[in-house]
Amino acid sequence: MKSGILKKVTAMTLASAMALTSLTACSGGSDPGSDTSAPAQSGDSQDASEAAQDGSEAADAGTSGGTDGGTIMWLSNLSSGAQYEAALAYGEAVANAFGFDFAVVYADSFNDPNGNLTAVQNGMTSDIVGIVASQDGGIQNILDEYPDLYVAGYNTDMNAIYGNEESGGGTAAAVMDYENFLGTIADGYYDGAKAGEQYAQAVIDKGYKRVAVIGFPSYAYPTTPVADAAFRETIEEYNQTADEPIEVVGDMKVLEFAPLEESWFLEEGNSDLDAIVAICAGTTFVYPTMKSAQANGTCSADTKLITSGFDSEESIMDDIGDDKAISYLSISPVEDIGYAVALVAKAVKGELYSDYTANERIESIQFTIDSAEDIAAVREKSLLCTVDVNNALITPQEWVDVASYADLKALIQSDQSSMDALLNK
Amino acid sequence: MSEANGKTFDLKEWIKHHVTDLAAYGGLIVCLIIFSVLPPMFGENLWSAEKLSTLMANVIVTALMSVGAVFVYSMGHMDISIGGQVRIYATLMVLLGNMTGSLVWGIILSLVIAIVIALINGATGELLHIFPVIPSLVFMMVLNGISSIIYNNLGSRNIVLRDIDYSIFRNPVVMVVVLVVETLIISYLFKFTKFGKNAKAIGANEVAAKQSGINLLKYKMISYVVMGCCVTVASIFQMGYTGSASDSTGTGFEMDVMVALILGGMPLSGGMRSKVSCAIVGAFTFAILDVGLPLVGITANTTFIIKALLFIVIVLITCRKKGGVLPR
Amino acid sequence: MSKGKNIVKRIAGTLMLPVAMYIVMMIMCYSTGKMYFGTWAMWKTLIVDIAVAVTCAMGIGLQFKCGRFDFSGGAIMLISVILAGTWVKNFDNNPVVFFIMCLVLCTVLSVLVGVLYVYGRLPIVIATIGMAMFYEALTALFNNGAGVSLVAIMSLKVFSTFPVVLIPLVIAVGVYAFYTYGTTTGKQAVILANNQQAGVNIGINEKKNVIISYVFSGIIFGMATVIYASTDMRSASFSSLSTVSELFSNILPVFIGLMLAGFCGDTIGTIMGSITLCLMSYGLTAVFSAEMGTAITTVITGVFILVINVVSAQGSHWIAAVKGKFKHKTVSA
Repeated sequence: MKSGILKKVTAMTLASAMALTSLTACSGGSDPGSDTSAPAQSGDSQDASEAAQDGSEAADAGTSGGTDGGTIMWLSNLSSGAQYEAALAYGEAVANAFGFDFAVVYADSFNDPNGNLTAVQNGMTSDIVGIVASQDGGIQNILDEYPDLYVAGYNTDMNAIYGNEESGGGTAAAVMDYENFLGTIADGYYDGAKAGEQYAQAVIDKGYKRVAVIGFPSYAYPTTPVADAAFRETIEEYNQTADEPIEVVGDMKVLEFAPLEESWFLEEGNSDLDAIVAICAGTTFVYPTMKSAQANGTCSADTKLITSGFDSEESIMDDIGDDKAISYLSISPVEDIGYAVALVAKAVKGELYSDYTANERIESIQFTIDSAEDIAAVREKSLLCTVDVNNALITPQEWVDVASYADLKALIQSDQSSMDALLNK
Repeated sequence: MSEANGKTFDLKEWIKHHVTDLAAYGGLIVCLIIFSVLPPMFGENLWSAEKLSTLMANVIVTALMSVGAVFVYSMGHMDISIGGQVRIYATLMVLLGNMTGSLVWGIILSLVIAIVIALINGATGELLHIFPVIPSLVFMMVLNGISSIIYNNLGSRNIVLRDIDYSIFRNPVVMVVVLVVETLIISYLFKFTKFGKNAKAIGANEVAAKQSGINLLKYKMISYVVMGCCVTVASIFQMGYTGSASDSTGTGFEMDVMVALILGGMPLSGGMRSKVSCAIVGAFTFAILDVGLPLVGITANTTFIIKALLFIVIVLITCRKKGGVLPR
Repeated sequence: MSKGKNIVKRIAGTLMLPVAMYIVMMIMCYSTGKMYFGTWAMWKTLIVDIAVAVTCAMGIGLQFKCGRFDFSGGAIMLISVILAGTWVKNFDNNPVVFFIMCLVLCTVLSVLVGVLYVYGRLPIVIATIGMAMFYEALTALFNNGAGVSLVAIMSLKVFSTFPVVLIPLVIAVGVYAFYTYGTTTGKQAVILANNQQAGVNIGINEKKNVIISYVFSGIIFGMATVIYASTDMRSASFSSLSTVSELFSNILPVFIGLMLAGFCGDTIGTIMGSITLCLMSYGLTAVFSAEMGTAITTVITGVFILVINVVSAQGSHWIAAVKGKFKHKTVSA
């Protein structure tokens, strides 16, 4: 009798579960886009959502309105911070302008293909129609899993697909044959040489005479050694005619995705540099150690940092400028995400531009901050710091109004999203 | 209460004695019911083929590892080198697969290494009289270091299979079949053979087990070997899902296994209450949360807190010790 | 003479590991041109790493020697840094306010872990894992998961700079030593660790003892947090139990401390262990450079842990066996 009651209880529980699931399966059914109240996974940024709401209300005036075209998902390599908040708000505004919702999922922090695929799978809802990917790990697997989705890259070189000069195509070069892959807009220059030349010019313009170079390992960022070589070449060229030549101390210091160790400043020649050129996320991996070393007296208080990557922490922003620790900072404009969203939106609607070039990898212009005036403008009136879409240098409607692929590229690569445009705003 | 065959059945007593199982299974059933009812309100369906496939993909690796880990955890031990092992095995499978055109050699080599590591893990604690977790801690650090060196030398953060069809490992039916077969085999070994019985006896009281004639060294090594084989199978599916391995593959897997077992009602001190079903229940509970919460619009950040609170609630029901000194 | 010999033996035993490590690393560094090893500049940098290692190890070790494997230390430190680092901005980044905030937050969070353990009557591993998951989840929610960066706030950065770093270090060591040697609770904890049932039977209030121990470990973690806060940017945890690595990376000094306890007590032993570990990590990173340094350090640390534990467990047997052989030989002669 004991086992009999147990059986009955078990049977009832399972039967209830079966009944419920049958009922819900019958009554449910996925109806893409029918329920616009489906909460998108737009991160839990209340301020960003509200700002985006305000921004998009103003920006959407006069547009087609409505977001029943489905949802575009952003596979984000960031999960917090200024760049994340601003890109999320702006991406949502642009998607809304095209008639889509915008959702976000967090990519694998190590760019592991498995992790990225799992992130997309877990975040996938029936109304997702396209993906804006900020990492290249697992893109082929994602396209295989969801052959109907369109994928465009944002803020990533997609080296796994495009490879580089030495390797030719990447390990996932087959993605180039996928019709639904729409190319990418890189984070700045995907050509390492241009990045190296840019930094070299910054050193020359600032008048630094003793510099050292730090970068990420080549196996993760194949363009870094190319940038380093181009940097040194440009400096050598300058030195041939310069009155006071610039000295590049030592070989490039490679960081294994761990912060620079303070002992580096104890090595010969590193304690009294004019500047450190960090071809990596210098604000995260070099700046903290540099400040520690300066506090400890192992690094000259006059050593400056030239790098990329933005941090909206007030104390760090206070330290950006001519005579501050970070004397030159370059980042890709937040507006770049509009390019990727526009491509996906157009593709989903079946309205890809007549002059569209498939799978193109384009460069982004660089938004450079290297003076007190620049950082003040960024803090007060940029989309990056205010997270207000009304402050965007390219309005969402402008993306909708673009008539050709050439115009689309011209829009994002023009000076419209440069520092000069922000200063003149 | 009811009477049958002269014995009375007291439901209250039954519930009191099975509260651990009820809580563990109850957590899973509640999750199933909630995520059957709620997602349709948002226009989604957990029971769609796509989502079930995602669920299996999410759970397969953790479940395969956890099922094997029951042997080790039933002795009151734990193995924290699992993540490092998965990374190395996945890497070897991809490297040898690309070199030889077949996954077989990589799998065989991984199995051999897994058995060697298992024998060392199982024997060292017993022979050298050190904490059983220390050898696995050492292996965790050594394997992590070795994998970093490998990827450094390869000049890439991740490697992919070329010219090998690995689609079979992505098939959810294959995943279900493999999981069911493994669970049946492990359950049989655990419940009906001396391997499992002795492992539980060691967990219950190691001194008594030794004095009753159980060869501690032998059965500890066997338990770790069983787990090592299951970790190898899990590595195949981990590698085979995307046909790749990276220097971050396997990160945190040892904690996933521990959490899955605890959530499933497995006593960490091991002993007679250990069950293979704990692994399945715990692995599926968290996987359903991972897949189901986004369907109802819960953001990733909020998912963490829900999982943490659910974990605490379930363990308060399943693992609470009544009376006596504080548990260790 | 015997007393003097004893003191010499104890000093030698205490210093053998760090001195041996210093010599080995010095040889390796000098042979690769890293002549700054052993300079005052190096020590000024290293003292910060040592301070973090000592304070973390003591926070973990205090529970470990009571028989409790605590997984929540890393999560407590992370959530405290993020909360204190965000709130202190309302007080103009005042270092004293920050110090007090870290201390209070870590203590409260640590006591909550103890409360769950005591009143939830959960096995310690499960209780601490649950709270670690909960605290990590909070970091992802607070401030939209933005974490905190205090590296450029010089008023707070003083705590990770010589000589101010010595203040939280000395406090942590003092609290640990006071708990171990100066409180009844500490001594009762030893009894409970050796024989829990006997301890309870003779009247030790186990619950009170555990809660008080968590107060002390919370204070020590508070000191660790004060230093740790401004050494690097602190991001929220987006992968489950990622802070548990704090436990595993700082457990070696605890083991060394227990091994050296016979010579100098576990307090000084833990400090020696931390110095040994930091010297090894510093030296290997300098010698092998970024590509291999971290990987090799990890491998060697793992082997070190095994050797330390084996020596701790078997050392006395081996010494006795060797002594026995010599005695045997002497007698035979």
